Parts: sequence; structure tokens; C-alpha cells
Amino acid sequence: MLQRDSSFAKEALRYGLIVIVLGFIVFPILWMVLTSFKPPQDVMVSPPRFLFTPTLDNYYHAIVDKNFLFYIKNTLVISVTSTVLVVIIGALAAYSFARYNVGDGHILFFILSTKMFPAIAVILPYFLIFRNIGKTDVGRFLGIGLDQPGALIISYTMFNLPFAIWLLVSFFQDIPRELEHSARLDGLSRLKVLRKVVFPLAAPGIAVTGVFTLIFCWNEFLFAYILTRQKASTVTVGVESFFTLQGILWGPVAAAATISVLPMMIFVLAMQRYMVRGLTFGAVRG
Amino acid sequence: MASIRAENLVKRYGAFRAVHGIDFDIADGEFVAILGPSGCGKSSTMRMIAGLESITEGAIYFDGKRANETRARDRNVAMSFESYALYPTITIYENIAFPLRSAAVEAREIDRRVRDVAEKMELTALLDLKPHGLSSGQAQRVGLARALVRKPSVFLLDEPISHLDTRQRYRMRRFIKSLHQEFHYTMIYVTHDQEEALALADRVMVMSDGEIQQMATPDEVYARPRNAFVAGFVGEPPINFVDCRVRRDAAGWAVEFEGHRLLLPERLHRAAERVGDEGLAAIRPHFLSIGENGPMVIEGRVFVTEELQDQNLIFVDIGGTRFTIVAHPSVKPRRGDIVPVAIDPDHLLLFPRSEAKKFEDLAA
Amino acid sequence: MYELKAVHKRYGLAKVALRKIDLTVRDREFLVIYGPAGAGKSTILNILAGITRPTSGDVRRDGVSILRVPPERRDAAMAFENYALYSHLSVGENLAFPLRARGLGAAEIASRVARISGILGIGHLLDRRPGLLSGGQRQRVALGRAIIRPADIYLLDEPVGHLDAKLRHKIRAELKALADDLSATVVFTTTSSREALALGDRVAVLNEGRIEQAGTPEELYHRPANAFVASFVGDPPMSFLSVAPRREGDRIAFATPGGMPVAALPARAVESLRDEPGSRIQIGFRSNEVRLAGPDDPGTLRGRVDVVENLGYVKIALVGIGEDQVSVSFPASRHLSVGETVAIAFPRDAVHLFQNARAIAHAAPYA
Repeated sequence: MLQRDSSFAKEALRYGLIVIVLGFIVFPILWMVLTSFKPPQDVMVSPPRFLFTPTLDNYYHAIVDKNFLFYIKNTLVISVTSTVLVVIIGALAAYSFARYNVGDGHILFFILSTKMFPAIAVILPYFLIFRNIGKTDVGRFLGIGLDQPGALIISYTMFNLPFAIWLLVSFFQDIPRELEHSARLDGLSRLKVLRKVVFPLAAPGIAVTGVFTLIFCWNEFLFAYILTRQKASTVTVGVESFFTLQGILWGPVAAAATISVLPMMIFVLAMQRYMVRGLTFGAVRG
Repeated sequence: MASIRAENLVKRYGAFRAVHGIDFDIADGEFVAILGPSGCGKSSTMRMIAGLESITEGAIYFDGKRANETRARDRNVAMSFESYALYPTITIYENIAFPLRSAAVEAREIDRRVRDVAEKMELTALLDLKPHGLSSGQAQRVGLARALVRKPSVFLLDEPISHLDTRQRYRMRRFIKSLHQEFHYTMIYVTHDQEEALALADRVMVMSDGEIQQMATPDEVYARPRNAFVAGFVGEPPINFVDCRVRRDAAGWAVEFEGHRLLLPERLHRAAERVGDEGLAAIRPHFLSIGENGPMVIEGRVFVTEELQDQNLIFVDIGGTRFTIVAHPSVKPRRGDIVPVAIDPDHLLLFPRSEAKKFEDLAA
Repeated sequence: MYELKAVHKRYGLAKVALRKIDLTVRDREFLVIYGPAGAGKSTILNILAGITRPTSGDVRRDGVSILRVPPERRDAAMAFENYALYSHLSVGENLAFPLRARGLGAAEIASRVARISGILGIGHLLDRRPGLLSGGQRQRVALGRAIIRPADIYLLDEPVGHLDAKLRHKIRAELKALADDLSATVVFTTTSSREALALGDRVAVLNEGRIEQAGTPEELYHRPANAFVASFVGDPPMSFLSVAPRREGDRIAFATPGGMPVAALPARAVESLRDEPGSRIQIGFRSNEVRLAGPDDPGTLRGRVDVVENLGYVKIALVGIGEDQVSVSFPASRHLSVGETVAIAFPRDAVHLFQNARAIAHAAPYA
């Protein structure tokens, strides 16, 4: 009996802690979603009101008046393109680091070390570079210039590659070399070995890397703010535009934020299975 | 020194029962080997004796005193692990001294005991090195030395030599045996290798599926296995099994297999009665021979001959059953030859067919 | 025929895996490379497969150097010690992989997978992923994947090392029969003396990157080139007694430092024994080449029983004689106690003579 009681107390304590932690995490999100449905007069009252007449005015304002879906489309194009580039370049680079030990670890460290620069330190050179490229014919043709999607795609790819490579190297290192040797002995060329053996085995790791990259690109603000004006602006910049000189439009801000969070939430939930597999990844050994 | 007794010992991990309520008695100074395939419950049993694992049900007694609640470090049990478990950052000397330091033994006494045990284990030259770079045999000896330095009352060894090569295994095996002969520790040795168990132990406890299948002297376990599992697990090369029908007629009890009929010696009459109609006959490869001499000779087709130089192993197919025969090195039939196989019925063993099931599980 | 010519392999700066070895793999032979862990066995297989390139030396196939031929063009099939199963494929797909890679038809693939999985007893596992298998099951899948296709050479790296004793016994025989039937060229590594002797047409004993001796099992067992081979081939290992030689007419007699006579060999047989002060002369013999003598057997060697081991069908006594310890097998029915004094009888000449660990003479065992 005694044992039973103590274990009951333990369970209660555990759930209590979970509730407190969840409160901290969930409350801001809840506030955001609730606010997006509130009429203006209910937004800034204290204590916050949980019972109100829901309205879609904020969404109407964000989508129709502010054309917020345009930002979503921009973000989608930029994030997905960057992510695909990061995953492809990153996987190939990481594979060669993992297998051929290119540069004896020094190059790998150098690449990772570029992550030590804060974005704010490099934003000015980036700005100047893209401004100048944008003035050339090539830059115009490829859409690499200020307020062009190409500028953000390149920036995001550059910025995410080091981390992606670093993450992927360990996934490739975990694949026993013998698997590749065995496939080559079975007569597959090196490229086929990559396609049929290595990449399928590294798939969970590649998925994790892709998800992290996509989330980063989706949520990025600083580069998007500095390098775009209107045509190529992303959701984070779009939300920021609701902070006007006349004041903050809380309701529409919350609606826009909710719209921009939604795709990522659905995506991450859908990928959750792969993420867990990827994070606990290990090839068959002993 | 201590004697150990277990009563209805049960270990459960969640819904999984690792040990199914076993009883055993280990005398003071006895060397017992716990033998079984992986997953048979032998390691759980040892860990319960060591106090590293809680006891779900039942009790363990050390020298007659209940020890379920005694903490591992208070049981005065030394354990040597399969993975050596040496501390990589300190010297061999400190590794061996470690259990004494944590027991707050006086420094001079520590030094004396470490050097003493190091000399016995032929480790004196290595004392100042770090474990990195030791051969597996050396690492194993350090592991043993560290276990021994505490003068434990019970000495537990968990697969201590399973990853050494043939030569080193012999050396370590004999070393362990002479340790026991010299110091008379109560020793419990967990292994999946039947040869180690037979060679080392005073008594062998054969386990499978969380139950003790037989606990007896090596001779007993080898010559009079209590069931088909023990018969199949003990012995190298492995015993031959063949499905048979048990019959009784005017001539007496007999078994029929693969279209042949073999009269049973009187010794097996009671077993035949117990087994019923469907039997499983077993005979060791040493009691089969190629030749015409014997009360029963059957023809078979040679599958393979393995020349081990000191003896030849001849695999012969009789009907759908493959038999192994141990033969003199001069007997070398070729693949496909038809040879006469003589069976010595005095060494035949008979089990119920139902016990055959266990092997299929094991081989799967 | 494959040949390694003065093959040297170094990893990094300091770690030498192979020291200028010469080794021939003949067509259709079963060659076993036998040695302790870390001897360089896997490196030889990797070099034959083309996965590893030697630091120096040459690898030839039928006299033509294949150093620059990549693995995918060598037609070697290999089973890796750590299994190297494709965890994203089922057992059946793993077995079929080498056949698919060669573009075999579906029916042919299915029949081969069924045959091999039957032999190895893994037919019921075909739909499972390797991650859910036991070590022994994985090893059988790895072996199956290597032997499922016709290959110029099969390289099997300790392919049965993780199986339990009974399965190892069974699969060893199957493997030998299969290799015979296919007239396959096989190179097989092991750390087990029993496997080496049972399987090999020839056995190469490898130690610290050197080949100590290569020959038929019979040669290795009865005429080991040195004390390492003698103590490494055969189960249980050979025992050694330190002795001093003394001329007795046309024979040389050997006695222990304590003065007990051990054996006498014709002077002719020990011509190569050199008279070097300080050299170590040892008589080697196997536990089954000697026997326990009765109390009044002449010319016997006496010692004290240190350890008795029961192997079921036979027992082995470790007998201390002076500084040495030798093993003698005796029938399981006999009882010996530790501490008892026993006498050991040598059948005439059934001994091996070593000087400074080099073999000087071998007396024929069953002649």
C-alpha cells in the first residue's frame, strides 16, 4: 500500500510539472489564435477575455486588404527552393567529408566556423553585393538582386549549408562502409551505390536536415527585411508591415501570424515520425 | 566465502518474465557454471545474486541469511564483466586499487594487496600503463584482478573469456580454474559455451526460458541429460537427434526411425514407457561409428567429411536425418559414398517428441 | 588464381596491418586464413575485393595485376564480419540485392532466394527487416547474400563466428558441401582452429601481419613450422616442455632440466639442431598424442596434476613438470585428483622438436 501511495504522488507531481511547462509554451500561441478572432475592442483588455463573439474581420483584413497570401507564396517558393538546394548540396558535401575525410577535418571545421559570424555582421556586405549584382543583366535574368527571390534563396542556402553539412556528416558516418563495399562488389557503380544504398539509409537524416532548414527559412526575418522591399517579401516581413506608424493592428497581426504559423505546424506534425526516426538513427551493425 | 540459496526466484521486466521461479543451492567454495543460450535468464540470475537487479519474487540467502534487501556493495560479491569495464583514464594500478580506495582501505595495505594480486595475474609489468592498448587477454586479467583484490566472498564471472581466441581461451580458462583451486572462492560463472562450463565447474546449471533444465555435475549433464534441451545444448560436436516411434512387441521395447528398427536396452525401458508413441532418440557422435561392428548397422550417404586431424567428423544422411559421427583420422569417406553406420544402443537416449520443439526455437 | 605479391599494408603512419606477405589463392580451392584478432585477416579479404589498396606490392589474377580494377568490376562476393545488411530492405530483398544488381529475372531470383534461405534456415524471416533479427540470424543473411550469386571468388569474413555452437556445426558442413558442389574459390577467415581444419583445403596461419605458415590442415597440424603455429593449430593447443639434448649413440636423448627423460630421436632426424649455448629447446606434443601411463610403465615422465578439465567425452589433465605445464587427455571414465602425481607415456617418437621456437623435427603421428 505504501508503495502505491508514493508512486501515485510521483505521478501527480509529474503531471503537475507537465501542466506548468505546457502553460508557458502554449499560452502565447493560444493568445495569438484567440486574438485573431477577437473584435478590436476585446483585444487589449486586461484581464484577457476568453469569452467573446468571434469574428473573421481580422482574417479578411489580412488576406484581402493586405494581400497576405502573396507573402505566403513568396515564402513558400524561397524556403522550398533553398531547402532543396541545401539538402542536395549538403548531402553530397557531407558524404565526401564522411567518406573521404576531405581536408582532414580542417575544411569541415572551416565551414562550420562560418556559422560563428552573426547574421547582422554580414548583412551589410550581402546588401551591397546583391545590389550590385542586381544591376547586371545576369543578375536581372536570374532574379538575384535586391527585392528579388534569388537573393534570399542564395542567402538562405549559404546560411544553412554549414549546419546541414555538419548534421549530415554524422548520419553518413553512421552508415557502415561495408554496406557500400558490399554493393560495389555486387557490381553497382559508385553513383548507383549512392542512389540505392547510401541515400535510402540516410533518408531519415536527410529528412531531419530538410525540416530544420525549412523551418529556419520560413521564420527568417533579418535577411528578408533588409534584402526585400515588397516584391519578394516573406511572411515575417509581411507581419511586420502591420506595425504601422498609426499603431499596431493587433487583430490582423494575430491573424497573419496564425496563417503563417499554420503551414509549418502541419508540416512538422506530418514529418514527426521521420524526425524521431532520424534523431535516433543508427544502421544495422552488431 | 559464502553459500548461496535461492528460493522461487522470479525476475520480471514489465510483462516479460526473465526468470520463472527457480530454486538452487550453491555450497561454500563451490564452482557453479550457469549455462544457456542468450535470453535464457542466466545473466538476470547472476545480476540478482550480485544485487545489481531487484528481485521480483522469491528470495536469495547468503549463508542462510536473507539478502534480498542487502545492497550490492554490502554483499561482498566481486564481478568480472564481459566488457572488462576498466576505467580508461587511470593506470592499471589504480584500476585494481579502485575498489579498495572506495572502501577506504589504508594506503599501505592497498599497495600490498594490489602488488600481490598483480603478481598472481602476471600484470606487474603493466601496472603503470593505462588500459588503452592492452590486449584483450590482458584487459581481462586486469578485470579479474580488480574483482579479486577485494577478497570477495562470492566471485561472479559473466562470459569472461567469450571474445578471446582459442589459445587465449584455454590459457584464461585454466587460469580461472587454478584460481578457484587455490583460493576456494564460491564462484559462479555465466557462459553460453558448453565446453567452458563442463571444463570449469563442479556443477553445471543449464538454463533455458528462465527455468533450470538441469543442475548436476559435468559428467551427469553430459551422460544423463534430463531432457532433450540439455542433451542438445551440451556436447561438441552436438548430439544427433532423430524422430522415432516407440513400439512394444514380443521382443520388447524398440524404436523405429527412417524405416529402421532398434531394440532398446533394458536401461531405456522405463523411459520408453514414459515417452509414449512419439519419441525423439538421441545419440552422441562419439557413439556412432563407420563400420559393420555393432548390434545395429544402417546404411547412410556421406554428406561431408571434416578432417580435424585429431579426429574426423563425418556427416551422414540416413533418410531425411543428418547424423554427425566422430571417427578416427584415418577414416575419410568421400561425399556421396554409401557407408555402414554402427549404432551403440547402450548410449542411446530417449525423450518425448514434444521436447524437440525447443530446438526449433533455438535454431530460429 | 589470385596472388598477393609482397603486399604491405599500412594504415596511417604507424599501424601496419600486413608485412610484405605472399599468398596464392588457387582456383577452386577453399583457403582459410586463420589467426588471432587483429592479425590482418580482414585486410587480406579487402585487398582481394579491391576495397582496400595495398601500400606496396601487387595483386594479380591469373598473372595480370588487378590493383587498378575497382571492386564493381572484380566479380568477388563478400560476407562482412559486421554483416553490412541493408537496414532499409527486408531479408528477402537483401538476399536478392546482388541478383537484382546483375539483372536476373524475377523467377530465377525467387528460386535462388528460396534455396539459399532454406540451406541457412532463414526462410521464415524473408519479410522481416534486419533490425529485428538476432545476431546469429543477421550473420546467416550476410552469408546468404554473399553465396547467392555465382562469383569468381567468395570472400567470407568470419561468417559463422556469431552463431551458436549447434548452428555453426550445421552450417559449416553445408558450406563445405556447397563449395565442393560449386567448385567455388573461397577465402574464409576465422579465429577458430576447429573451423580452419574442418573447412580448409589449405590454411594460412596469420599473426601480426605475417604468414607464419600456409599449407594443408595436415601439414599445419602434424608439421607446424614453428611454436606459434604449433600452439595455435589444434584444439586443445600443443604443450611444450623445455629439454636439454644429450647424445646416446646414434640417438639424441632429451631430458627435462630436472633430469627426467622425455624422448629420444635418431640423430639423423635432428641434424638441424644447432649447438648454441642459451638456446631454448622444447619438445612439443598434443594432449592426445600422449597418454597417462600405468604405475610401472618404463621411461615415463612424472608430474603433479594442477587442473583437471572435463570435456564430456574426454578429460584433460594439466600436469606441472618443473616450470612447464602440459596437457594430457584421458578417458572421461577415469578419475584424477588435483595434486596427484601421474606418469605420462609417449608413444615412440610422437613428438615435435623446437629450437628457439623454430621447428627442427616432427615425428610422424599415425605412421
